[in-house]
Amino acid sequence: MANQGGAQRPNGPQSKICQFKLVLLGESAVGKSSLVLRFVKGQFHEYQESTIGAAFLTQTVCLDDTTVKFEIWDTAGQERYHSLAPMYYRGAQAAIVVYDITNQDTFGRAKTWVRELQRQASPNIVIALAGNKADLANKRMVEYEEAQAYAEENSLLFMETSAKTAMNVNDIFLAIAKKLPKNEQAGQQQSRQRGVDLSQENQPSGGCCK
Amino acid sequence: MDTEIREGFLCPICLADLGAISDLQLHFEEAHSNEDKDVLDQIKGLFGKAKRKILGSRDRNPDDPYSSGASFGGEITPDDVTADGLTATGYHPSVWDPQELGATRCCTAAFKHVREARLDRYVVETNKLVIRLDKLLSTDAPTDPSKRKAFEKNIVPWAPDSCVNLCTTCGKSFGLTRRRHHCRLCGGVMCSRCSQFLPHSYARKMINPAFSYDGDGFRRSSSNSSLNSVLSPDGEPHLRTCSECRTLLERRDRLIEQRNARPIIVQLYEVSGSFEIFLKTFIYFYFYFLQKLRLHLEAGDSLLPRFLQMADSLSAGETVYSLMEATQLRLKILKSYESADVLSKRILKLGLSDPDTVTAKSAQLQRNIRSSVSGYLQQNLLGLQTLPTEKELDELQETRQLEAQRRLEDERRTAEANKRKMKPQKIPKTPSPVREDDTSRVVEAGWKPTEVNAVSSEESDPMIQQMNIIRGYVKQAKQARKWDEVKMLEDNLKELQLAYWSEQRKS
Ligand SMILES: Nc1nc2c(ncn2[C@@H]2O[C@H](COP(=O)(O)OP(=O)(O)OP(=O)(O)O)[C@@H](O)[C@H]2O)c(=O)[nH]1
Ligand SMILES: [Mg+2]
Ligand SMILES: [Zn+2]
Ligand SMILES: [Zn+2]
Ligand SMILES: [Zn+2]
Repeated sequence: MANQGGAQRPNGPQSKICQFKLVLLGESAVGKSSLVLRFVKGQFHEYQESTIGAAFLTQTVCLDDTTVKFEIWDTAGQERYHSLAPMYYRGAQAAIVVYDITNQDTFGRAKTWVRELQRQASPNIVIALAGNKADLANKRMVEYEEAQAYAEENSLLFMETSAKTAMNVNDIFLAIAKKLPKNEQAGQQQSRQRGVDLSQENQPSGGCCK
Repeated sequence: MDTEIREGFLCPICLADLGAISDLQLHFEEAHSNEDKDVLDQIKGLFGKAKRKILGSRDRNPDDPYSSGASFGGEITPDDVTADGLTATGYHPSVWDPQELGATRCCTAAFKHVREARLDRYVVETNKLVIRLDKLLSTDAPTDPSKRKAFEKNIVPWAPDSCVNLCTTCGKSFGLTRRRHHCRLCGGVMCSRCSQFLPHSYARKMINPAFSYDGDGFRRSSSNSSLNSVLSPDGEPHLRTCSECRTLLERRDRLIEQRNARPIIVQLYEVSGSFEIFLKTFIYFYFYFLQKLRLHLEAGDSLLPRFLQMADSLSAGETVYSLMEATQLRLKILKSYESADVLSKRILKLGLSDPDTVTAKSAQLQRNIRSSVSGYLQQNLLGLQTLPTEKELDELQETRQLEAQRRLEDERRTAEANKRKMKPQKIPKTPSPVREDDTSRVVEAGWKPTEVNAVSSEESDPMIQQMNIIRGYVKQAKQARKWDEVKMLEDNLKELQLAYWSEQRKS
């Protein structure tokens, strides 16, 4: 009842809703906020303000028979907010680690984040690596192949994206949504609160995302 | 002069004596929580007034409760006193105001005395003794031994000799060698060996703790002589007492000595310097308000989720909750939050009339309390959406009913269709990459709260900053009636608070 009118119910009675927590990590100014803004609002700001603390957004995507609601936490890349990051990746089912393809250092920082996630986050977390600002190919400093090899080694989803042109932005979120376990068990294993069927009241058949 | 003296843990409103501070608190919460606001209203501005009064009466001995006729509790106007001596109406500003214009004596000592007296079951007895002591030591007491005896007997009647054949302490019979002696405090009879002498200087200290005494307390009785019962060998006047009275008095004396080890709120009653009184009163009210504030906030918060659930359910046209129930709950929450609001304002104003008392730091703290409370309340009050009217509710419920009927119909039809098709139509889930013909798509309406202006300055704790941000988001989510989001954000806020507290505890 409490969810009445909250979640968007885009489809007919067929649709099941799963909720997942996703966190964005990466060096400051690589374009984390720009990516989510593109994904959630379809907008891009040339002068995107640097994030303070962690910003919160939600977006719902539809897979064939499932509706996935993302609870997105866009963390601040600035050093002084790093103490907050664990609070947001700890309960997360998915993470996007972002770097800027025009800046080698940000790729190094991304690797550090991946390592931290592998050690500290939930073992089932789905990690995606995003090489952002792909529209600035002429300033490229991180080769596609290098990043892809690294992603493969660590079994990460990998895409080069551009928040500016919207390239691969929705795609990376959808790819994550598909990789996420959508049966009740898996969703609950990670966190009892997450991945549960919010629409059960409308579901005579019961069960989530089957 | 002869106003009734009422003492003990009196309720400030109905004057009932509750016996113990905890009982009083309980009673006050239960019986007068509504009047509370009025009482607190009267407390307003007390600090400035208190200070003025105390400073104005400095020339008098602030610790002598008997130096003038006024007594604690003596300022209740006759109109408010019913036949049984209790005020029937409770305090009203009209009762409170005349106090400032009338007596200007400091009542701290009397209050202190009275309160001290109720700390245990001996106290009534002890108190009686102290009052008698006070009379016995009065300045107009005759010094001449024979007149003095009559004076003492007049204050404390002696038990008649004929009734007592045995010493009440050691049980030995009286006779020629064992003479009867009287305790000047209780009038009881005992033998010389069982009696002791209380030097006047020590006695004076008993009545008035501020009076310094550096002797060694009671003295053993050294002779039978009648003269000695008035003057000690070194010429200091003293009083003969029995061992029981002595025990009570010594006990009281010890308690007074120990007072410095007591918690701050108790010490408040016992301070001697006027400035100190002011400061401690300040601290006391500060903690009192803060505690109340917490209670009100908690009360509101504990009800809020239930209300949101009701409101949601009602506006969805469900019939699970009654509108009246929800309305009452809403009022209750509003009231709690209102009280919290008032209290936080009180805290803000504490001591404002005396800028030199309030340090910059405490003023800052007060401001912070006020601003965070008002922010918090604003945000929560926004969540207190107005409920649908009776008429709207009927419409909502009707709509829902139609909706449900329609859905049932739909389901029945699809079930029939499926039966006819027989073949289940499951599309196998494809792993990435995303295909063009894929049905996956992004739903357009994502939600993003607008940036919260985290007012905090650069060096402030990121955790606090983040909590403020989340509070702002919660507010927006509530306004947008995004209950999923409200839940997510509130979960996060709780998590942040936990992390913050555990960090604070560590450092
Ligand atoms: N050309 C180009 N610029 C981008 C792209 N994404 C982000 N930017 C720009 O990069 C700058 C930083 O972007 P943000 O989204 O604020 O970066 P961030 O990672 O959120 O930074 P913090 O909040 O400080 O951690 C902004 O000026 C954006 O306009 C992109 O795909 N292409
Ligand atoms: Mg950002
Ligand atoms: Zn009362
Ligand atoms: Zn006695
Ligand atoms: Zn005796």
